[in-house]
Amino acid sequence: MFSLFKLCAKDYIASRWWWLLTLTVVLFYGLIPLRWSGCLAFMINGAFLILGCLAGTLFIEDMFKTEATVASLPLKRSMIVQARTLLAGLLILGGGIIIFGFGHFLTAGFPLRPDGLSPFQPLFTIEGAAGYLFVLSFLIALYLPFYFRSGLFKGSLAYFFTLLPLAIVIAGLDKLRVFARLFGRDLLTDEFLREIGLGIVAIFRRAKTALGPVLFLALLVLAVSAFFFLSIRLSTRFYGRREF
Amino acid sequence: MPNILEIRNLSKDYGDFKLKSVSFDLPKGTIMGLIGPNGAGKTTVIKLILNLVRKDAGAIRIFGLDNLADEAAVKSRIGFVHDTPLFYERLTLKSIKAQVAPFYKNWDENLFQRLLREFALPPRQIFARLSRGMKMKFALALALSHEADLILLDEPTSGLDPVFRRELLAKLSGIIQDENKSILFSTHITSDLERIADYITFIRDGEVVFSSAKDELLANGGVVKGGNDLLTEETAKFFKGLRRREFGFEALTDDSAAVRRRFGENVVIDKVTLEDIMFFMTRGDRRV
Repeated sequence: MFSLFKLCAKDYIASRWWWLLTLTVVLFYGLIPLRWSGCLAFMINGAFLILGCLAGTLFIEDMFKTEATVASLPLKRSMIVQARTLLAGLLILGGGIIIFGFGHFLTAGFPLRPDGLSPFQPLFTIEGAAGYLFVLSFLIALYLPFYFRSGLFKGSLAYFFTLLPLAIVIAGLDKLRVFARLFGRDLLTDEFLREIGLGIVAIFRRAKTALGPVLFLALLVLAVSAFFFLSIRLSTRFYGRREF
Repeated sequence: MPNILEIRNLSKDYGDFKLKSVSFDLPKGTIMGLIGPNGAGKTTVIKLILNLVRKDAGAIRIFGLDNLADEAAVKSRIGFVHDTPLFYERLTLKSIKAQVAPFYKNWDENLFQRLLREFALPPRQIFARLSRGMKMKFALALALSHEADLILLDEPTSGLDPVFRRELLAKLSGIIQDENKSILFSTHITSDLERIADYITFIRDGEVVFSSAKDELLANGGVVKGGNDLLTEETAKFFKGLRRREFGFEALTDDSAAVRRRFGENVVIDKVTLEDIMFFMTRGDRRV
């Protein structure tokens, strides 16, 4: 377990300046009130922070081809996979705290809408934050096996080609209003039609109401853990076969 | 003398290159030179020991442990230098050390600092700004700073100036003096091995041609020079590698005494060097 944190520390030492740059850009972008006029901008900004930090770390490692050196250290390949997944988890957690904390600071400090309501309100709820971080976690957990199988560039290409049909299916189902029929009136709001991402929040809101907040959060943690468990299993199998 | 490293029937198929059933032992307290032409499989052997590539068959035992089943335990006692030192180039040497050192329980910070001073490496220097030789020195400093029992060096002296090479060889000789540590040293610079190696393993086209004690090789072997009229099907069997020229032949033998008995004073037998062995084994012919 301790080795996993040592590997995360290694990544931190290698990528800290990139992380700082990404954070600065995200905070600066977030300071432009016009850009904060909608949840979509908030979500993109948060994703940029979390995915940007992770992608930067992977890119720096790939650029200097340090994988062979790391694989020569007293570690098993499975530890390297677990440490990367742990790093992704820490970035999601840390990035989530920063982005939601910063959003809260902005809405509390500055009246961003004439009616005084927060433009991020759907996201600044348990189901909002959970839904947002859940989707990011899913995307990262799905990405890691591709990365460990084929490396940064080939793996990313394969990942996006895999996501493409999924995106087309989701967009198509949305057009056909399948989501609306399945999940009910919450999805027929203007917000959902304008910003498809909030549809997930609506689904989570329904789930939370039905299950209660404790069970809802427990199930959510269980689902995310299951994603990452499967991701680690697949990644370990793939990374065990990689040659340097 | 117990073996620190035992390799048995190690095979790896890359498609265009095959490592074929490689076997050799590295006894405790010794230095073994791994020699062979480019693309012979030296780096592949080292990568297989470190599990950087997957073996197709065979077994590697280090300190009596399987290199895969006990991977982390085994690697914690190995110091390595790859043919190209690959670290995060934009970091300072101090930062790279901070990345690597925590993985070794026996990390000796004082020794590391002493080696940096000895190798004239400023800790705050950015790795990318070092010359190839300096990068190699830094990789060596990392490899030597955690009391490793087995040190794997893949072409460590390439890019180093002759003065530092000699100093390094002296240091490596010093490391094995306690008779508990061993060094596997792959190189093209055979003169380095003549200075320090106890054993030589020669690999050609993915196969071990021989793995023997260096002193035995150099004492028994020789470069034979004589007239072409001496070469027949029968006499050719004395030679491991042969080069015919217009005015005579040059050949490598692993048994100078037998050659002397067979040819008498009709041939000249010179002392053999590792470079001669490598040359004749690689480029020499055995046909008459």
